[in-house]
Amino acid sequence: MSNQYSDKELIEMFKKAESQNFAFNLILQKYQERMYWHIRKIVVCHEDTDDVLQNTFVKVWKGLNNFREDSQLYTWLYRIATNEALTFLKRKKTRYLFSISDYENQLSNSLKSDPFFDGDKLQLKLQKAILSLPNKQRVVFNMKYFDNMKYDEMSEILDTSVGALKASYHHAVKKIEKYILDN
Amino acid sequence: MNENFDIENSLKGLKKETGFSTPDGYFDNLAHKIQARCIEETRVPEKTSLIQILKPQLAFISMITIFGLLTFSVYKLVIPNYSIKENISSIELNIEDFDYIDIEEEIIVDALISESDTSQLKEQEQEEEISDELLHYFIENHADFTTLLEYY
Repeated sequence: MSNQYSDKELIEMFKKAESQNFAFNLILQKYQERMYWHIRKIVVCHEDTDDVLQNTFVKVWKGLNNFREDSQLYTWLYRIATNEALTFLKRKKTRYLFSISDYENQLSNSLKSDPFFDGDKLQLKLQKAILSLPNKQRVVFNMKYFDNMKYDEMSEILDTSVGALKASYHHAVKKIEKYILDN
Repeated sequence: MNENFDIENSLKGLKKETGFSTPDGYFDNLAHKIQARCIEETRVPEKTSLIQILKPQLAFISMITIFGLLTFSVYKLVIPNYSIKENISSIELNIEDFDYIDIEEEIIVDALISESDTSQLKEQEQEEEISDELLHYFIENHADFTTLLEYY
């Protein structure tokens, strides 16, 4: 049902008090899965993804009335989701500041026993390789490799130039290749 | 450079699937859960009085005050007064200086009397000195015999 309406129509419906809840429900139906998987690839753990996803949509609920529509709705949603996920990782890292192992190592080690990871050995190795990348590079790699997103879209979401994104992706691929070969 | 070709070569054999999964029926209830959370977050809070706003600070101040009073009370009760202690110790020293003897009451009384006698004697001596000086003064200044008699 959510696909009956365009993003513009959904925004207009949301801005009217009588149809706000209905419009928001449709937005959720349309984007919740895409947002979930985007966040999941960044934070890895299902429970953390659930938290970040809820925080993301709460921000959308609070901010949609003031949305200026200078970008697409999904671009705006992706941007909020990415920022929420990266902020979440930053907070987790701070807690691990004086720990022997850092947060990414913890995630990497717990992947194998994670009940919500069904991948094979090679997929596990790929995820561990991705976790060895810096956070922002990881986002770039995930968006390009798994979501097959265009550089122009990524540039709008991440507020980074196309050239920088291409370079970042190229480096990410090289690092992952090296990790897989070494391990 | 064909970027996609490079990447396919580099990551050859890897599935384009993450391997991640979700609990059964997770997405079925997700929209409802998120909407309930959004409504909760945007609920207008009830007006709070000044006392309610300052409650944590007031609690903290009272806690500090009570703790301070308790500490002061304990200090006063447990740790003795140093000035009394000093007096006691000096008295103890004085007592130690004396050879301890069984002093009879009579001796104490005699000592007190002799002390008062000596003090009386001293007063008398002082008075006599003054009257001699006066006498010399009157003689030198040719005072009347009657004035002398009055004085003496």
